[in-house]
Amino acid sequence: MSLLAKGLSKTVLVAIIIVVIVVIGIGIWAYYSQQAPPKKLVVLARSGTYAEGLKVAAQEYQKLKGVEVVVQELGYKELYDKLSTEAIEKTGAFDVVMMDDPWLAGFASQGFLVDIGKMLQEKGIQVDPDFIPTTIEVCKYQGKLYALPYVGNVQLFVYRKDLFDKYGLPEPKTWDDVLKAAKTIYEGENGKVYGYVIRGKKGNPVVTNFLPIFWGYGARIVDENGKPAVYSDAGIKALKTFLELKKYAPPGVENYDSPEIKAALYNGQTAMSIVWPAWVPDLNNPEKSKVAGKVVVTVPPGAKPMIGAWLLGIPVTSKNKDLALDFILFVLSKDMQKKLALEVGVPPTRASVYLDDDVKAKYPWYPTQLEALRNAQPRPRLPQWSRVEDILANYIHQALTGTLSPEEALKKAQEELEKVLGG
Amino acid sequence: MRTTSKIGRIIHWVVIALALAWTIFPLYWIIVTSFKQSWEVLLWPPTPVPLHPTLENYAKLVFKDRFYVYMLNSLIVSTGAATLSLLLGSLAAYGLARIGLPARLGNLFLVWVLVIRMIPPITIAIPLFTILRSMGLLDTRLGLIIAYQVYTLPYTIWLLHGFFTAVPRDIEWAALVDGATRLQALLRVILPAMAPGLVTVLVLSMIMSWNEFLYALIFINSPEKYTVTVIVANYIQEFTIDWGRLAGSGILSMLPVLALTFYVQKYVIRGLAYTGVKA
Amino acid sequence: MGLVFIAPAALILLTLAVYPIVDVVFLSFHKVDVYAGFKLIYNGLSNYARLIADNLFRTAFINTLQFVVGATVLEVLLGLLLAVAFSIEFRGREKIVPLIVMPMMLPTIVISSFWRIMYHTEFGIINAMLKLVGLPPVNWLGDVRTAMLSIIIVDLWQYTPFAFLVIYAGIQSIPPSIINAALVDGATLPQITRYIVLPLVKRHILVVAMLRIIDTFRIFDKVFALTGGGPGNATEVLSFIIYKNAFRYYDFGYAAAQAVIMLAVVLTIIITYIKITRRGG
Repeated sequence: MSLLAKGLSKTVLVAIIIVVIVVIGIGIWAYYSQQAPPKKLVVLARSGTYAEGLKVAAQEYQKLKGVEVVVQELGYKELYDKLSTEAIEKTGAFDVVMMDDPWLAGFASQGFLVDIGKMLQEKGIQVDPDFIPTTIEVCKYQGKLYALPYVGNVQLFVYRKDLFDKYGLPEPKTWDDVLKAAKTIYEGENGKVYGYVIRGKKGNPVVTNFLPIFWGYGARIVDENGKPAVYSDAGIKALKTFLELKKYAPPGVENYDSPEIKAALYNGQTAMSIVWPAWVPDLNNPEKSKVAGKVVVTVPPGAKPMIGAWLLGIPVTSKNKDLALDFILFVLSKDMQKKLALEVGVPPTRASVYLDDDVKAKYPWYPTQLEALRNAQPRPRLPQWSRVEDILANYIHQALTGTLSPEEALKKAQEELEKVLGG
Repeated sequence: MRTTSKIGRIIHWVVIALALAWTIFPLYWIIVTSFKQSWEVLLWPPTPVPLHPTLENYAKLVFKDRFYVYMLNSLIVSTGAATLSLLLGSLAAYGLARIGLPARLGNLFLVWVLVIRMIPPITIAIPLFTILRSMGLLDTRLGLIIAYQVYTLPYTIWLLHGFFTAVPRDIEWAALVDGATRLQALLRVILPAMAPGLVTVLVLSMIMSWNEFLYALIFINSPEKYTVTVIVANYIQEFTIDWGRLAGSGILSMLPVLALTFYVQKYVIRGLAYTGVKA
Repeated sequence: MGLVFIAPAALILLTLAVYPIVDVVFLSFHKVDVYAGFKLIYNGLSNYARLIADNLFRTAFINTLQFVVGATVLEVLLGLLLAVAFSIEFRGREKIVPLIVMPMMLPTIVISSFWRIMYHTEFGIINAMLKLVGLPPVNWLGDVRTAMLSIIIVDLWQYTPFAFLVIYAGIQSIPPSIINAALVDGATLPQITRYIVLPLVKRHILVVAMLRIIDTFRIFDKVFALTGGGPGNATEVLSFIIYKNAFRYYDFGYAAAQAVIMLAVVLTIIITYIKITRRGG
């Protein structure tokens, strides 16, 4: 060993040892200084706008009640994984958790969430009828209320009015219309503007992006008895349309997620897209978007729009349940929802906030969004949803990349869903 | 060796240049990206040097995302795991190299340790999860330090075994003749004699723990306790085209590794290859 | 006496690595109800029966083998080429070797994030360079035909240095007199490489190939960070589907059965490796 024979110089060695000791010292200090936390609430949230909103609310709450609220944020899949781990580990690390609405059935059935309906009843609090009914519906599992709606998300559809006018196209009413328009515009512009953009990343993105088309053709994931029903003529037709649309979409959409969709929209590279409300504000902001004022925001064609609300719930392991509920109610109060809508851009869940004049002035498409929300339909309320979503994602993505034909993909998806849900 | 022909020299030169470019380019590109503003990242044609160099990405990482929290977590876990391995490993390696086990048990032990080091970590993740759970160590940095012994302890034992075998026996005998016990001999004479080797092993274990991702992903649940690899994985999903910040987070998380590598460079270049063959 | 010194480490390793191996086999015959305090329900071989019928498992197994073979072969070949090139003396060699070796010390997740930025179809530098020389863009991570290749390329970047180092050390240990004698006899460099160097470093090549096979088999980080198993199933690998079954669906029993199969395959390779290295002394 040359190193042994020569040895590092003594000073270097001493320096390293000192550094190591200091670092361990800091480590131990940091570890123990965290052991005795002051009274505080820990919130686990989806990163981005929604977490920003909670941070603003947390500061106000601290000013008002003197309780420190720590907001920790994670990406979509990471958030789901960590919540399901906590449902098993029960470390009690979180007091308030944010959930995508399709997750609720799973977490509620695992006994992870506090029955908020019962808590409210004991305190003599009514659920305000101002909340849009569809957003309250997705907080329920087997009739019990396990969460309250924080973000009033619903899928919308945007199209370029200038291009539609140029080619004399009407607003699309069906997905066949969308396909026709995509082809016309893509060919008319010699491929310089894409007709449609797909959010094709494997996982939640591709499923939520395909479902409106799937529903638009009348297909369903499960039938009224809860049995899988994806392998159907309507389903195959929908998937074929999805693949047709890909011909008029930018290359690489198989890996597109929201930032790519936003970039494609803001740069004027696409004529149409399914969008979530959070992407719309910047679309009409001339500083960020080249197409400000040229786009129309409307409901997706073909079927009732998909609700994608984000909910706030309380884990049964929380040691501060009453305080947690108090914080949730504070965040969802009318004033706070208005503040968060105006300052951060969190879509509200109260009808009155959508119709508020200040809010409407800033977000002119809000009445459309409110209508969409009132009519919205949820994804199936299945305890196994995340697994169902993974299976759908897997096969839709295989069809999208051309590995499987639409028939094969849905047939295989059907078989696997039967294993998970029971044929 | 020397080259003989002119063509040979040219080919040789091209191979070396390509190897160097291939290695350096990704690092160069990421460093450049981390100093670009978000709009410049998406510019065509790509700019080889930032038009308006900015520290914005790093500022956001430090002040908004509190990246230092994750760096501190990684530091705690990697120093903890490396130190624990060094303590246990130096005892074991000394026992094996100097005192020995009856029959061929010593060799068997070394082979067994090697096998542990080589099995895929995911295959024992489920039982490890239940063990840590029953000890109440899930979602704690201490639990992760213990889990990392699966990686670092076998590694430490193997390297130190080689070092101990290389220390001349005379030093130790002298101490034993003077009436010291085995443990005293180890602590007072042998360990100081091989201090540089110990530091090398410590640093290599630290790098290994710092770089680990799978167990940190599975066993740590609260974002406050995430290590750098887990938070960078989260950023990959989050900042899909907000590349300045993603690149910055990568640079910050690899800087300590680069600094440590500097100290063990010689060993890595000569020694690691050597142990690789001997292992 | 020696046992006293070894005991603490041995105990830790028994708890953390040996007991788990036994336990994972035990678990594979059970269904684990994680929501009822990890209650175990014996279900015989049904996890294994399910595994045989599982297309995803088969795909993941084949993909893993593809990665193992692709990465190992290319790394050893490139490593050998580099080792020969660096064995020829040139100015600055001592400065360049540490640079070439750097990637293998960096965190895999961080490296993957770098490549993900460069692979991007629209704004990535790699496609930009293709465009500059007039080639069409490649959908690196989004096309079934290139996704696995893209992951292998990242592994090449990271671990070719390792193959290089081991083989380089082997070449360094060849006595210069042998090569000088050959040069005096008028042998060319390719001839020396073929007839003197290769036979003498055969063992190093074999060892590094085995070490790479064992190490590539566990691939997880790169798939997690670069493709998430996609597009479609094109990059699903064993570690990743076991992770998903265990820690996303909490199907511990079934994941354990998959882990047992993976363990059996890798242990066979490890034992072969140990036999080879022992035989060589």
